[in-house]
Amino acid sequence: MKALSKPQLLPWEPTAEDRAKVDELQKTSQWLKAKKDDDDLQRYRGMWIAARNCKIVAAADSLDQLSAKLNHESIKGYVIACLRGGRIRVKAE
Amino acid sequence: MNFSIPWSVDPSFGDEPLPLVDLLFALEGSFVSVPFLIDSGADVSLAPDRLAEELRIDLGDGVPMEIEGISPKEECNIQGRLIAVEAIMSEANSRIVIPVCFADQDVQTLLGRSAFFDCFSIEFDQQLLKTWFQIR
Repeated sequence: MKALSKPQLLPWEPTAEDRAKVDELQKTSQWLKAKKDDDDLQRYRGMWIAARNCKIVAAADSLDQLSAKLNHESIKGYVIACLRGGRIRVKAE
Repeated sequence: MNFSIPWSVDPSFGDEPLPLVDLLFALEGSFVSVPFLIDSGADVSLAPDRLAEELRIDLGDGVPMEIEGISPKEECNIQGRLIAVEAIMSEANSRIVIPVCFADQDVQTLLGRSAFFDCFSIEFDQQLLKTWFQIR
């Protein structure tokens, strides 16, 4: 645990190609986390989702099921998120 | 270097902003982005072991560990394997190596104190809904 805990912060110097890939992911991530006017995304509460190009491509109750919905293909290029709010939540009445 | 990350709304919950950080993991010539909740109450970072599998992280060398959480009941404890992983935090233009406990359950992704809080001085601003970071 001690050795594992050694803090390491190293410079990240992406290539232009990598930067473009990351920018695309961040665009989708920002879209996902932006407050929406409608309640469309509330049906994903508690689920794992895979998003790409500012769209939710797949959603499932577990990461295992999500992988199956993605036909067990690589998750590269996706935003993978667990939509469970905070760690300690007040249950809605 | 100082920077801040605005809190984000979990779209499925709607109203309660959360201090999230997107960690990027390199995978097969591309990247995967996973939001982690910054959790100063967690000793270590946490993720499901299924995520490790998806990210091609070999947990064979991981240190077995048991995690206690909110409930004092022993049956609520979680088993996992602790292993150091490298992720990218683009806001800091940095790669960070942190120990993550990959649990045998479908747990939420949390960024705990170990290593992450050693790399940054972190301040939560509930009024401005921002997390401030200063690289140590």
